[in-house]
Amino acid sequence: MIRVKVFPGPMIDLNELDEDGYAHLEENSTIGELLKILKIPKLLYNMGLYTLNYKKEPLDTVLKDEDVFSFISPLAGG
Amino acid sequence: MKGYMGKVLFVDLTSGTIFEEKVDDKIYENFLSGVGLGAYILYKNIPQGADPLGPDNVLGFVSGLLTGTGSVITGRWLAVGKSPLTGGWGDSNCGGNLSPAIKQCGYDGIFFKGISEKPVYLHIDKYGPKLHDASDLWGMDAVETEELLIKRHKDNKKCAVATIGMAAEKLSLISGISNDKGRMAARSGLGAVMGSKKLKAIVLDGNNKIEGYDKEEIKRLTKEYGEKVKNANFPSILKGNMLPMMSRVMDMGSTYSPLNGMMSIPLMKRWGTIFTNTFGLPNGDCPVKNWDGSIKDFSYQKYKHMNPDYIIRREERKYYCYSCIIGCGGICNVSDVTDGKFSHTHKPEYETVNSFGALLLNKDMDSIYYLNEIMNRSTMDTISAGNTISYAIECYEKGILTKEDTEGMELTWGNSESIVALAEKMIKREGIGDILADGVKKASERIAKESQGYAINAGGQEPGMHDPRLDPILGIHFSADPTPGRHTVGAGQYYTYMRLWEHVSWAPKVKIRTPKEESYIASDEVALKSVANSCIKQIVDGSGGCLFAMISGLSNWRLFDYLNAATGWNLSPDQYMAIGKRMQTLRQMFNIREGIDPISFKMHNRISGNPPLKEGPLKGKTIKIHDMMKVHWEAFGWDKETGNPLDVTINELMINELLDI
Repeated sequence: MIRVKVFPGPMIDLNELDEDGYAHLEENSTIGELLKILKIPKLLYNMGLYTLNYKKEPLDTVLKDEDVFSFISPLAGG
Repeated sequence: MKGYMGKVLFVDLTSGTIFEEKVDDKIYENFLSGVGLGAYILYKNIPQGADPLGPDNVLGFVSGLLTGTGSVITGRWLAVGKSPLTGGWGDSNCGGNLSPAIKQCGYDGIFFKGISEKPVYLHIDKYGPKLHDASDLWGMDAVETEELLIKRHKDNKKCAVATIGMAAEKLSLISGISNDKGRMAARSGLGAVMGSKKLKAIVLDGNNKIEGYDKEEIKRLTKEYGEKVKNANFPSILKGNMLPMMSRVMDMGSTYSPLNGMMSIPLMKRWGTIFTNTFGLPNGDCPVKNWDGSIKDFSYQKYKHMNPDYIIRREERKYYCYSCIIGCGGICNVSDVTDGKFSHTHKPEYETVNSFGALLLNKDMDSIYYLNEIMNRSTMDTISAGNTISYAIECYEKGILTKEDTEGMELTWGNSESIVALAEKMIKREGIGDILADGVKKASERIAKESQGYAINAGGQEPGMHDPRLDPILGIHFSADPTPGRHTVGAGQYYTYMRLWEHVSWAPKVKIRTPKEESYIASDEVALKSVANSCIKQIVDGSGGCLFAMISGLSNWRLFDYLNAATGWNLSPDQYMAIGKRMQTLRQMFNIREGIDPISFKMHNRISGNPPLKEGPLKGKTIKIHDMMKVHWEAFGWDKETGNPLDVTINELMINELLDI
């Protein structure tokens, strides 16, 4: 098993994350599989709303232990 | 070589005397530079009870400790002084290119006392500082003044200029100081302090070297963050008109979770702050109709005109403040919307768009471009001016102000022609404009006591364009900070993005699925979050840092590591937070000494939801703000009933010892 830190965005099934925000996955899981586990609507898969370790990566990228997966999240600005 | 220059410059405008003063290392080690150095100098040099517009007030221009060291997004400067708007500590933060120029002249801060007999400006170059007659510049706007001074002092290389326009010359208490042709240090009314001193401008043209302790480590930190920023891009498929929908989706549910602040960077790169124009209306973040309305009063048909994509179409070039790698600024072509009066204006910030837009139910974006430019040129604060006009409209609608008072103007909601005309009168202090030119609190005292219910302020300062009924921790900062009404100090959302708990031992961790309702409770946890916000913001303002880098997260923009690399101090984040606490406590001590009752800074009842809104996304929301102020002060080590810093806290922070008082 590996664990991937997820910074969630909207429409994520938070039940799939532990208290510290980690998703626990089988070895060799891909970004696409993580999105499926998080129940992200398929329509949004290819919109590039996420980064892996702060880089844009394709859906078939294999995840590693302690990777950081983040969704775009707007905030209020000044 | 610790990032700072180790000395400050004093200019006595009454006598014309100019002298340098060395600053001991221990002052930087305990207060940093920037706002901390400013607080140290002003506390010692402004006599108790000084008139903010009199000769005893001291106006300072301070740079940041990290500015010029090779760190990124650390190029902001602050104006500091006793505020004529609140009567207490005043500071105002701005980007552009002035901050490194202060240090290149060999100083961490330049401080002015006294009042000149005639208008003057200070010029510093390799031959040293010198005062020049500015009689020919008095009356000119900020852009004209800057252009002329650059031409006068440097033909081939640009020097940095800070200046004031007509509003500040006429001592409007909501005026600020401009640099880079219209970027504003707008808050606290410090433009009026500069105007009162007859100081038209400072022109900086030094070439001193700024160096940090460990250049390689600074370079490494910059490279690491730079890579992240470079890769943070918003998918091109997403457009500005989708932001309202994104807002609704993000706001769904009754819980929130820690987010990665880095993921806000793509929006800042694409649009700058104006993405909030439309993103903030569906969730209630944007105040509407003098804080008494909602999206129900300003529907999509009206606010769609503020779509950031429309504004970007006018953007001829993006620009970056000194050492910035995000680049949220831009220059817009507005030659078709201002009858040819102005060809360009800075891309209006969200704060300006909402202050003259939804707050006034004004859907006319052309009028907002125009207002943006006249405010920048006259150096009047757009947030305060928008709040004041909105107050005036409500007074007019309720019959407190009449057509006779307004000299024939129909001061109704959304009437852009009247809004522009009133703003121009405020700048010139003509007629009703003279009554309104000092902000809502003064205006309500002049107009009628019963109008105070519509004069939205905190301690005299008009609040920034984010609604505390959505984010109650923002309300704590509006009310319990030494500089009230500021949206830039802290908020629950900022805390969630910064992830301070990964560095600071006592900062509460935000858990997955935290109930939103917890933010509305005056709990110890909420108090620790707001205290952490206040402390880290002081450190950022002591370093020359930018709010948007801070919000991208302290694990990304590694401020604590940057400070250690620049200074060689090797302090822990907890030790830096203690410095932040010291800076904040000294600012509060300044207010207490000046007779401020901190309770009086409590934000206006309307914006704490008393009474609550009857419709819209914030319907029924109320904040027990007094209770929240109390827990915040208690967690700071200040008296929870009065807000006065306790002796035990002052002693623990060694403030009296450091100030030698």
